[in-house]
Amino acid sequence: MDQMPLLALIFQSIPESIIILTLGLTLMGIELKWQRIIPAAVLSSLCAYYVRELPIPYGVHTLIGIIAVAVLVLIFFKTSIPVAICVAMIGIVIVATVEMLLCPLLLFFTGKTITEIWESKTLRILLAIPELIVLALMTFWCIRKKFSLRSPHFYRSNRTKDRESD
Amino acid sequence: MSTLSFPNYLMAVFSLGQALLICLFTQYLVYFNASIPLGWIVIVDIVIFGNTVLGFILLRKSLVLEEQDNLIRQQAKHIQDLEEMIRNIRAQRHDFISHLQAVYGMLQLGKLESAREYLAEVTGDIRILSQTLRLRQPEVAALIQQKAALAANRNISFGLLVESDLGKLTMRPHNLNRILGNLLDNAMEAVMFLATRDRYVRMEIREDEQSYILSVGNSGPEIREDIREKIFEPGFSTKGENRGLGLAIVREIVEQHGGQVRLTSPPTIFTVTLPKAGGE
Repeated sequence: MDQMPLLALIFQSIPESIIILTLGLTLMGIELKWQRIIPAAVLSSLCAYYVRELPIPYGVHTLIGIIAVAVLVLIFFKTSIPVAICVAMIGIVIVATVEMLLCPLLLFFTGKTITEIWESKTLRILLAIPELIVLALMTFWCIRKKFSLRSPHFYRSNRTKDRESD
Repeated sequence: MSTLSFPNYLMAVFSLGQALLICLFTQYLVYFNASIPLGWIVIVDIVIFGNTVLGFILLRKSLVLEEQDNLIRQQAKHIQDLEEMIRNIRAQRHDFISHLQAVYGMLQLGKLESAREYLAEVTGDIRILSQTLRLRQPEVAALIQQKAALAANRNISFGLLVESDLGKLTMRPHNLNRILGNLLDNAMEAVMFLATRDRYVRMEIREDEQSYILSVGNSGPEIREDIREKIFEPGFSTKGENRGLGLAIVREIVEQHGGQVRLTSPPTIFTVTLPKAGGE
C-alpha cells in the first residue's frame, strides 16, 4: 500500500490529472473545455488518492486509474466508449513513459533510491516538478500546434459523427 | 463510431497497454530495491518509448481508417440522394404529359377554376425542382428535393425560396446537408401534431455581401424563451430520451465554419448565417 500525502495530491496529482486529460483529449481531437477538464481531473485525483490507500498490489492503482479516467471522459465529454478508453490510455501512457524516461536521470543526478524519494514528502513533490514541466510543455505544444492523431480536415466532423451514433 | 474500426482501436490500446505494463513492472522492481543496473533501465526505456510510438502510429492509422470509412458512407449517402433526385426529375417528366392532358380535359369541359387550381399545384411541385437546380451543390439540391417529397407524403405544405447558388460556400456539401437535414426534420416533426391544413414548413436560402443566410421556419408551437438556448445543448430534447443531438450538431458545424445559428419564435425560425469564401 502506498499512501499519497495530501500535498502530493494538490501539487502533483491534480496537475498530472489535468495534463493526462488535456493530452488525451487534444490527441483524440476533442475540444478542450476547461470547465469540464478541471472537475474531472480533481475527481480522478481524489479517486487515485483513495485507491492508493487500498491494500492492493503495486500497479493495480494505475489500471484502476485508467478505468476512472475513461469513465470521467465518458461522463464529462459524452464520447463513445472506445474514444474514452483511448483518451485515458494516451494520457496515462505518456505520463508513465515520461516518468520512466526521466526516472534514471533523476536517480543518477540525486544519487537517491526510489524508496528514499517516496518516503520523503518534500522530495516526492520536488522531483515531480521536472516531469510536470516536460508534460506541461508537451501539452502546451500540442494545443498550440493543434496536434492531433486525427487528420485536421476530418476530426471535428468525426467527433460529431461519434455523438450521433452514441 | 464505426464498428469496423473497433479491432484497430483494440490493437492500438494493446500496444499502449504493453508499454504501460513494462513501465509499471520496471517501476515495481526499482521500488522494491531490485538492483537493476542503469544500463538495463535505459534499454527498458528505449523499449517503452518504441512501444508507445508504435501504439500512437497504430492509433493514428485506425483513426484515419475510421475517417475514410465515414467518408465512404457519406459519399454513398450522396450518391443515394442524387439517384433520388434523378428519379424525381424522371417522375415529373413522366407526369407532365398526364398533367397537360388533365388540364386540357378541364378546359374542354369549361372548368376554368379547377384547371387554375390544378395548375397552381403542379407548378408548385415544379417550382421546388427548378429552385433547387439553382444551387451549385447537387447533393444539397437532392436533399432538399428528398425532404420536399417527404413533406408532401406527410401532408405538410413545403415552401422554398432559393435566391443564392451558394457558390462561394466554404463548407463541404455533406456538412451543409447535415445542417439542413436536421433543421428540416425538426421543423417537420414540430408540425406533425397540427391539423393538415396548418402544417407548414418554409425554407429560404439567401445571401448578402458577406454571408449566406439559410432559414428554416415552421408553423409549430412557440419555443419557450427559457429553453431557447438549452435546445442547442447535446442531450437536451423535448422529444424524449436518446434525442437532442440534432441541434447540437447543427450549432457545432456552423460554429466550426465561423457562422452562427439564431432562433426566433413565434413563428419558429432557425436562421443559419455562414460566411462567404474570401469574406471577413
